[in-house]
Amino acid sequence: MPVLPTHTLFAQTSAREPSMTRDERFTARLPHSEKSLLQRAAERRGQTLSAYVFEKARSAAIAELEEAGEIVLAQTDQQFFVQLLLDPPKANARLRKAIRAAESASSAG
Amino acid sequence: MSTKTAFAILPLDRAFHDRAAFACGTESLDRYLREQAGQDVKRRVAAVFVATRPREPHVLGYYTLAQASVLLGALPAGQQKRLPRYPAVPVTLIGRLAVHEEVQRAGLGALLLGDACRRAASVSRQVASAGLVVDAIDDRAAAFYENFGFLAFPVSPRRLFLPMNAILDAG
Repeated sequence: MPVLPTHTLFAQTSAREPSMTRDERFTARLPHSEKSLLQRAAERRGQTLSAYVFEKARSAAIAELEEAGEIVLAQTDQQFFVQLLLDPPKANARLRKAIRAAESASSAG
Repeated sequence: MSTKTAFAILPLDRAFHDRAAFACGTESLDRYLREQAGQDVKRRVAAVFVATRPREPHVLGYYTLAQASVLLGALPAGQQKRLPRYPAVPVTLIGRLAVHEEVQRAGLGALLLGDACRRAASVSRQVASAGLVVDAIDDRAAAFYENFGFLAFPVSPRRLFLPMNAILDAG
């Protein structure tokens, strides 16, 4: 028998995985006392341990990536972003005007 | 046009530009300029550009630019096939953009945004950037960017994007 309890939680599919909805497994080993700690906090929130740990780890991961200049988008937003890259709109009149004004201001010194 | 020569926009010069009196109505944006912008420039983690009356030190507006990347990890196969398999796409981030209360509604916001677009487009000819991303501080700010053709992300509408090809098309 393993001396340490193990726990599983679900993480999103890896970055290269094209299928979007498949759940994957992630197993963590941790001392019993640590698991109790997490369990207690999860229960206070009325969440399963898995849901609690995933939610906390996920928001920490996003904060860390964004802090380092890596922009994390929801799946729908990623698709929106790529669609704009593949089929970019034309600049509107206001944008053209603002860029022209900035160019004149810079050449005026 | 009076606004064309009414403002000069230059990289922040810590020795010359006076940031102490800057007040845009949003404390966090004022504090950033007063306390953090100089450090960010020194450490080269953000480029800060300031608007003043020509040759005057008082800052009337500013914006910041930094390189960032959009992580792509959840695309359907159809879209994935049309893009190189990069896990991340380089973009330019407008971290902050603010105008002093004294000169609000004088077209300085548009001028700052135009300058940000102009600079980002120019740099992208040397170091690729797929477009400008901005995190609007509130709905009013988001509406400001939308006026210039920035598109709000559907799930996170306070974050907006303008493809570089739209900007290059304007130049």
